[in-house]
Amino acid sequence: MYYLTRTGELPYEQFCHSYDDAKFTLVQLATIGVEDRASADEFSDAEVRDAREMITNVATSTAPAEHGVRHFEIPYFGSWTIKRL
Amino acid sequence: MKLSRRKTVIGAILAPSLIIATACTSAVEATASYAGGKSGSSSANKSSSSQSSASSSSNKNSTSSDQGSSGSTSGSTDPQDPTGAAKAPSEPFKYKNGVTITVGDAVPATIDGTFSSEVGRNIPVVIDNASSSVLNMTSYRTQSTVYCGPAFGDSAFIFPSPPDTGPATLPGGQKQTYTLPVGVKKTDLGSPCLVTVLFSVDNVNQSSIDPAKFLLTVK
Repeated sequence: MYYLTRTGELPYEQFCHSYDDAKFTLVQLATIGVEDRASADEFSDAEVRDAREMITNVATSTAPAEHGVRHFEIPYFGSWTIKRL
Repeated sequence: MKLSRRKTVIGAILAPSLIIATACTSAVEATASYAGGKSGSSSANKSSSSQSSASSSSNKNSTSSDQGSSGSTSGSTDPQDPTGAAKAPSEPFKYKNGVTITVGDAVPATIDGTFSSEVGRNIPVVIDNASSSVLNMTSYRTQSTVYCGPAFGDSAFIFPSPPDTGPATLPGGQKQTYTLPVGVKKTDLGSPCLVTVLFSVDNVNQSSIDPAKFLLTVK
């Protein structure tokens, strides 16, 4: 079981059966969020690119060891962790 | 502004969480090319100045030098300038030292992180290193660019992360296919994109290596 959470002013949490599920969820959330703001021209191309590169890193990340945690600081979309329970 | 951003973020988080609920158990859970240059395309000219450095670095594109006799100075390293671009997938881009790059048709692909306004495509890049140099391919994804749309003004996003399809270094005498995974705007489908591929060579100034440019219609 994996626990996906976002810390900060807009908390989010979800339990997932697998690391791939948690990763997929985070990638989808972040992609939609970043695209939303990109389409609203709230961020520059470079800012959007930075965020997308981190999203790509999330998508290609591997599961942490037992009781381990993966931290992802996605520019303009907050701090996220995926913890193996 | 701050309020609108918050609304956006909240919307971005809440809406997809409903859609994505199935994923998790929620709640408690050089020139160019033109092989042989027979096309004689004048657009493939590279600057004569870059030619002179080509022989020393042995990483310049041959067409440039071949066509340098025309005296054209139209060669450009601007990734949005199609001057000197080969027509993919049929035309290779050849360097004077024997390196040949070919770009194939973009292949539809599902790529994590693709915007809803985009489609995922894998652009195959074949590097045939007939030179004696070792090509460094570690940063080709971050150095390469894909521009589509009117006046090649839309920058397609190149996904930078592994897994890669080719080795980090390509010794002389070897041929390998690499991939540029890109997110192309749906509105740009069917129109030509300008694909610029860049590699590195150890101990060679990057600026002395002409970018290999290709015009490719992404479908």
